[in-house]
Amino acid sequence: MRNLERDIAQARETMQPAWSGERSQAALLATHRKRHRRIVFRSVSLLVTALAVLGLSRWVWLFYQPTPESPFLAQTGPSQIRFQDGSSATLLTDQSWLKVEEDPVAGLTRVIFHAGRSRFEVVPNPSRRFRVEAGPVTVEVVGTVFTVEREELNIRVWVERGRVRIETGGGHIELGAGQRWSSGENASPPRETPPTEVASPSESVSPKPQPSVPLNRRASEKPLALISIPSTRSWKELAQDGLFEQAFALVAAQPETALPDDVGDLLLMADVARLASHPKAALAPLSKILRESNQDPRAPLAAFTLGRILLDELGNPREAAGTFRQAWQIDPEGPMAQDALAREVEAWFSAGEVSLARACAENYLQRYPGGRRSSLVRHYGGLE
Amino acid sequence: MQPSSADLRIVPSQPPTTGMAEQAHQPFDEIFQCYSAYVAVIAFRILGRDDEVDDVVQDVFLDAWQGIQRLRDPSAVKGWLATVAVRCASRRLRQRRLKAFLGLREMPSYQNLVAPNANQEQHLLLRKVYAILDRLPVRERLAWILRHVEGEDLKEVARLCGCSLATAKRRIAAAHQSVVKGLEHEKPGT
Repeated sequence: MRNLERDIAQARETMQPAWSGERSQAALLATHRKRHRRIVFRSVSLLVTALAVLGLSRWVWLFYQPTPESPFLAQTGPSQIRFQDGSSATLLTDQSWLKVEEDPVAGLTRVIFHAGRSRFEVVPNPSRRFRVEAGPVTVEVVGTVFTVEREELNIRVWVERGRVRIETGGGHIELGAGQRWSSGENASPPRETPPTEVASPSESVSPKPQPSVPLNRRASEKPLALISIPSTRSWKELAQDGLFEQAFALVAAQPETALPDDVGDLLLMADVARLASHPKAALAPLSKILRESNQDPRAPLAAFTLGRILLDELGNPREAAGTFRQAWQIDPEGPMAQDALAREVEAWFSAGEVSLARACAENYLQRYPGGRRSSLVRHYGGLE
Repeated sequence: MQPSSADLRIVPSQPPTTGMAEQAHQPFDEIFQCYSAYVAVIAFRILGRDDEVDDVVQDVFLDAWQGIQRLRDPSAVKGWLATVAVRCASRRLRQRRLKAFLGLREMPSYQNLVAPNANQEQHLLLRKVYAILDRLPVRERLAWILRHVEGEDLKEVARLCGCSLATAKRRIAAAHQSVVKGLEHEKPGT
């Protein structure tokens, strides 16, 4: 053992690396390069780690967030939204837009009403709440027909049928058929007032887009609490406010000689009659347009509408066919001509006039090869 | 006369040109130039190979980069570097063994362990000793080399190995027993 230690101690001096000045200098340079690489590597690693942590955190956060409901956004009018239970919301103006969230599990249909005017037909369903939120105002219904209008913080609610409950931060109020509520920037909270009317259930009607009420007229109105519709209002004002049944009631009280002369008013009167579920009453104003104003650019629309009423609602296909023909004859190149000719085919077919239906169908296919109603026309015209 | 351990201690090939108190504040390059040879010797004697010394020297000074700047006692630079050198060489030894285990590299043959003009009997002895040390745990190898090749005292061995004095003694004794036994098996006629 002593020899081993001695031998190793003696050999120690010869155990030297060939470490010269040049080698030392080269090692120094290599050390600097290594240090630089290490700094870069650590910086990149730190960045990658930070990004990974951020990503993981975000994933964890998203994972534990409740699943957002898919909002359905309807924008601009005129358009209609159909809900799962058959209820509907009709956007009446181009500026109307709202967002719908349906939660069948919670039994809640929530409409976030941002702007414009929209008419709601809500199917009665005790197991489902239907709520319209217009800013600070919430309208909750069980089953009714009502209209909501919103311009910034100015919100108005009209009830046609049934009852609605309106809630704001200051309280709540219930509206019945024929009643209206309006809010303003300085409006006091609505007072609880018993309803003045109870509407009777009526048939559902197909909503039609209504023209916007002039903004300056609404803006000049003072903030109101609950009011009832005064009887001194004209049928046109009621119609423009969406109160079609009341408007029709006024119209029906007028004799036929009191039909307006203005084409626009005649069309509005026809719509009032249709939307109030009195289609037969729409025949007179529409016929007057075709009789006295068939050069008016709106005459094809009047003829087409008349044909629809005769065919779809009154079951008079023969007369409807003639009216549809008149619609496309007035303006053969107009936007309604193709549809009018197609519906004439359908009307002749419904009237049992197979040869006339076929002739019309051939005329359609010749005038509009590849037209959007071609399949319908071939079917009713017997050309399949 | 048996040389004292102090005579056999390795001294820097380039003595410091300034006082030890200022060395820790010298630029890094100067410290490198001053102590790189010292570190190289330690690395060489632990590893037994010259081709790995450069990497170990670079790693030592990289690891010691910030440590040197924070040393409160500037005179402790040399001891600090020795500690880091032992650590880096130990790391290199473990890597070498892992590669040999995976078949990626063969264990060294220690052909150039001593200078070419050195005593060949001593050279042969050292080759045998290092071959035996290759079979020992790294910690035992380190302790034995620091004690018997570097000639460090037991307390310094314990400090460099980062263990207690008793542990250092135990590792040295275990390694020495293995070395002696291994060398006895090498003797002819046994």
